[in-house]
Amino acid sequence: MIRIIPRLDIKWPNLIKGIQLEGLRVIGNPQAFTANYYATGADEIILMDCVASLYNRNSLNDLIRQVAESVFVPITVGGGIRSVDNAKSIFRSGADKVAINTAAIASPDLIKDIAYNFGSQAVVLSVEAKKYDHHKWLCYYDNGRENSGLDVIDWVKKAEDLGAGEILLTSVDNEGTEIGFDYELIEKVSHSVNVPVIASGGMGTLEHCHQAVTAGASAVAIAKVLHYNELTIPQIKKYLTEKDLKVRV
Amino acid sequence: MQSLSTAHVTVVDYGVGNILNVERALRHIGMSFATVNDVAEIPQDTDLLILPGVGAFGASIEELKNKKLFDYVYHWAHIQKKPLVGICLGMQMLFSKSFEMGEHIGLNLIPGQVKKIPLQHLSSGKYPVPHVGWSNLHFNSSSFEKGAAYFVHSYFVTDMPDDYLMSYCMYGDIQVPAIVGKENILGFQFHPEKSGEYGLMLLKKYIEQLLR
Repeated sequence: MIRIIPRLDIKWPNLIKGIQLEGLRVIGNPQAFTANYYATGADEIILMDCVASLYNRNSLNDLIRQVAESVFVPITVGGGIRSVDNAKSIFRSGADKVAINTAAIASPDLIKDIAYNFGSQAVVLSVEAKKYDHHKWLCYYDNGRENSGLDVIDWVKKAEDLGAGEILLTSVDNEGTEIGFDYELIEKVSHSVNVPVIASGGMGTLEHCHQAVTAGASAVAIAKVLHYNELTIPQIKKYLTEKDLKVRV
Repeated sequence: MQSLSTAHVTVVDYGVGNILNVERALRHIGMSFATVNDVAEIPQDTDLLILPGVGAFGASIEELKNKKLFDYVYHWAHIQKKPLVGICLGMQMLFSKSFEMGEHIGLNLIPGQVKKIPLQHLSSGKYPVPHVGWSNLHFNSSSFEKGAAYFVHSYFVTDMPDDYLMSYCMYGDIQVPAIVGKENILGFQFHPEKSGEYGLMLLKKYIEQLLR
């Protein structure tokens, strides 16, 4: 079944939205949004901490705890996770998976360490991909600000070997634009690894979601169109069902 | 026997995985419980033991043994025939052996083995491993309404006698045991605490049956 996953970017205490991972706008209360998404059929929830400083760590844990109290679907948390201890405190707050990017690029063994302690299924590699040439993408980090110089395909393969259980694949170019996902990117990555790929970045219409799945995504992470109520989860699921795809009803 | 709300339930926290979610789910369905991480702390009046678990089979069995819980749980379920519920990795540990990162002996309470889900490239598509996401449950009796549960695992139970299969899901061409039961022992491969209201309902109904 295709998973529809609302993705919330958090700048405590607000839900925010950015375009191409720059320029932020406050949208509202994260807990209210997650409660609504759970009630309307979200298959999972992704919470990304956009400030990701150590100073904010407790606020994030509080939010996770609040969300987990009444949301009985898996919760993935990302943003500034730098160590096994960070991951542990997030799990203890109620999260089921952690998404890591910056720290994993700096120290790939972090993937292995978290996977060893908590299982591969708890480790999601978050990839911020920016196109730099025909059929080539580079990995960005620090919330899309810095270029690591790593080729996306090389990196996801390496991460899979190290124990990453899923790939959260965000197109930096398309994120927040509503022009659609980067289908070629999704296709290339899903053909390069055997773990599930969650497509993220660019959803604008129902058909975009369908195309992401056709390109090879097992799940779709959606932010803007849901937060601005342009589309609802039931609408998305209905559309995918009409296209003969299986979703949870 | 006891009812769901009056039963004395003990959740075994052997340091592997996040039990907060299991605790939250139990509370939500009206159960009160004690969580212990030491065999000496298990209350004498325990009616039902819950074994959660997330992570690797071998490491978890080691942890159970380190805390002297391996023998205790075996004695509880096999000798005393008292109710035991295993969730996710906790369910896999009920079986004879697992081939996850080596070969490891389980509690051997239910015959069967735990093997890796093979990669499948079918005409219907590629089935990645781990199996992550929602799958429809098929029941052997019609007394349960249909629905989907959340699975996240790379290993699954095989070679188990059909008698103990209460529910399964299909992942590609593979039949994955989803709910297993043998007399006083119950196991959930999926996460009932993460499968929405449907998962909570199943958790409640199956535990009620077990306590009867």
